[in-house]
Amino acid sequence: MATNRNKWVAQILVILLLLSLTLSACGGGGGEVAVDATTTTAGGDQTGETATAPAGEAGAGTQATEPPAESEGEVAPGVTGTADLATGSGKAGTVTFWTWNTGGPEDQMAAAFTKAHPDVKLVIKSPEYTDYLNQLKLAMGSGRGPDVIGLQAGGMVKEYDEFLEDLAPYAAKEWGNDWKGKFYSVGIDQLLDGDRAAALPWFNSAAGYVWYNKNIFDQHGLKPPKTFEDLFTVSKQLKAKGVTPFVHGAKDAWVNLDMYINLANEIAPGKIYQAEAGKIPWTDPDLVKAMAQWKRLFDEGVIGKGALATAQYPDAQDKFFSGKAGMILMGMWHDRDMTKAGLADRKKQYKLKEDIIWMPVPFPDVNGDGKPGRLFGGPDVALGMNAESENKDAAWTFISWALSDEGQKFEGSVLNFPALKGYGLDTSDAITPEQKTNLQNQVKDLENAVGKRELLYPELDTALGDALQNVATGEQTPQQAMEAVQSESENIDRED
Amino acid sequence: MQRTSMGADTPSVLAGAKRARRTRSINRSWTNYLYILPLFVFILGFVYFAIGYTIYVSFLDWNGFSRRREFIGLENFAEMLDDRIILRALKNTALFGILAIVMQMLLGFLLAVLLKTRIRFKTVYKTIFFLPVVLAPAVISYIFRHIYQAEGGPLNTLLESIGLGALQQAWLADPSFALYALTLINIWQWTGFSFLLYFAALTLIDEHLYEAARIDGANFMQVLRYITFPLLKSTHLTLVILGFIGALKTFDIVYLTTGGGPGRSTEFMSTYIFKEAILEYNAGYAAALALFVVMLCVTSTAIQLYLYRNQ
Repeated sequence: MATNRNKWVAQILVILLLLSLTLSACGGGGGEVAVDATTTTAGGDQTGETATAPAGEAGAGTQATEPPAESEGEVAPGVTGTADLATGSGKAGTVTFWTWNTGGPEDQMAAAFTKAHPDVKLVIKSPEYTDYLNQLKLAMGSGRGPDVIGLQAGGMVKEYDEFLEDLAPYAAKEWGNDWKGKFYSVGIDQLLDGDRAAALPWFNSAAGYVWYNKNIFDQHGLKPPKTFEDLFTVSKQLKAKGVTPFVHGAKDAWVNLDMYINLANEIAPGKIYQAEAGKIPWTDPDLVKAMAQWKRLFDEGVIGKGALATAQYPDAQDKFFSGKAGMILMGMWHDRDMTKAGLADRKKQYKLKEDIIWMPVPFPDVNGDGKPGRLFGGPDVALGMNAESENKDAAWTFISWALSDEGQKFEGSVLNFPALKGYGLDTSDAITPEQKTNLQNQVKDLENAVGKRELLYPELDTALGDALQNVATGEQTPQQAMEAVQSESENIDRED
Repeated sequence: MQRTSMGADTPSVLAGAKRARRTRSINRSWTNYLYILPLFVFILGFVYFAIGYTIYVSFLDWNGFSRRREFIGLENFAEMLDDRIILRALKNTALFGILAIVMQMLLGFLLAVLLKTRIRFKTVYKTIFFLPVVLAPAVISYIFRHIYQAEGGPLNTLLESIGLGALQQAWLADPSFALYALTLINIWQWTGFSFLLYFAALTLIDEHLYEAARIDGANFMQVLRYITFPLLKSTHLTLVILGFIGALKTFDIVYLTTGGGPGRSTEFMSTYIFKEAILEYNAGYAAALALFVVMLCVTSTAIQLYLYRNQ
């Protein structure tokens, strides 16, 4: 009897199990994810968060609004502390901001914002980049995303577009109809889709500089390379002196792509973007030639044979900033290494005994036109607003503060390149006059940028990343590699 | 009267006792189910629900978080048929798995047999052999990335110092060596596990069998071949199954050392699934790949168990 009952109960459990499988398979079949927009804090996981307490909760209400209408007389977004609570959720006045890069020391930035807006509580969550991608996906998919989202231009903005509020009306209200002209075009252009602004650049960044260790070059009586052939010559000379000439973390696709974009834009400016858009094939002779030049860097020993197992961060960076290598390909994001504060940190980090002067120079001239390579870049971090946020005013308060005189000066002070015209880098802490001049001239370099850094389609990133590694190891010829990229490119749905 | 009375009462007493037993039995059986309930709920929620959800996602064209989920039937599975990266990943997994399983079993078995002899400091050796098993993959990856460094790495330096400089390689950066270098890391890490299982199994073998063999004049190798090895059959099978599933699941060491590269030379199914799901926003296709791996695991385990039972 008991045995039968046990069987009976076991059968029920099995049926329950099967039912659960069936239900889970059918779950969400309606094609929509229910969005719970009432929770806009960073969920239960407070790890890595910085919260700045508002000076006073009383009267800190903000109004959750639709995007401001074009007509005059409406309350401009960004006005805080004046409207009634729209939801009564008790979260008004709190803005959650998730990013992988807080644009300088997180606590300083948060403190500066809170000082300017004591009625808005800022809650920051800033995990490492890959963790950030994972967490953001889960949060947005389940309707528990932050109010303000840190975004990378290109594929990331494309994928999250449906969750992002159009910020153009907010910007127009805040700064007038010619608001786009306030931004460096290299940043804002990558975030506009017609009149829609899915996000706004917070600070810009560009790649395409070759950084060199001036101490090493001076010690051996060498000058940084101006042409591509110089790069090979200088590398041989450094190798002969027992110095690693050029460190490159070729394990990472992104830094290989940076190198390839440099080469392609030097050989035929802009062609890579035409190929990205599907207007020309990736097997275009100039793009194949760029791949062949990439191969030369390995064949002729500029890049060491262990590079394909070396990560740019921390491996290659460690070698360069510990004074063991002559050159590295990086961008504006290392400007702080030209300041006294930056040097002090490096000396402490790598136990350096001497002061090292690191300087960026443009990528060497590859096509022989006598002009050095141009930078390519865009928004380092762009700020988007969660379209489902119940704290849109508070969110806009933060975004508009980040793009205010104070916010942009703050970014300049920590050597992040401001997104707004008229703002530059704070050069007061530069170690040498050459570094100071270099930092000042970076405005022109950025304005003269040849194009963007982030490709729109992740599939192309992967295909190019594979192609570059396969060419470097000799598994594919440049032609074969570009044919593989073209094959992947043809599968991309560019209408999406 | 007394008899009559007893006769009248006996059925009711027996029935009462039966009822009491049944109640106790019911209570006991329900209590038993309560004991397994937490585990059942856990497995249901975290394993079977996840598998069910993965099946559902595999029929979608979906980036993993968008509200636009297009049902595309079996298209993701059809796409897998033309995917050359899967073949590469499977080939890598097979080579990695076979080499790792064979070497770990062989070394683990030999170490266990050696430690069954009257050797001193057994506990110290056991600890040393098992230590890599408990080390975090991040730590192991960091150590081996350093050891394998092409320029100035300890392995290449050692080779040079003993006059074998010609054998120096960019171990993790050269597609011809990278997979073998990873396999070596896995062997180093998991041999201790094989050793422990063999060592535990060896203690269960009846000493009389060895005594009888020795009386019959069997030497060490004969004892090993005809007694020890066959009696460890279930341990061999356990290690083969765990090793195979482990190879299919391998992710951390690969991701932290080569990232699947150079090119796709060390790509595994797990790293490929990660790239598709996270870096390329292809959650639907990644789910189809994941199901394929689950099917491989289930099928191969079933075949191995079937072969074992038929022996």
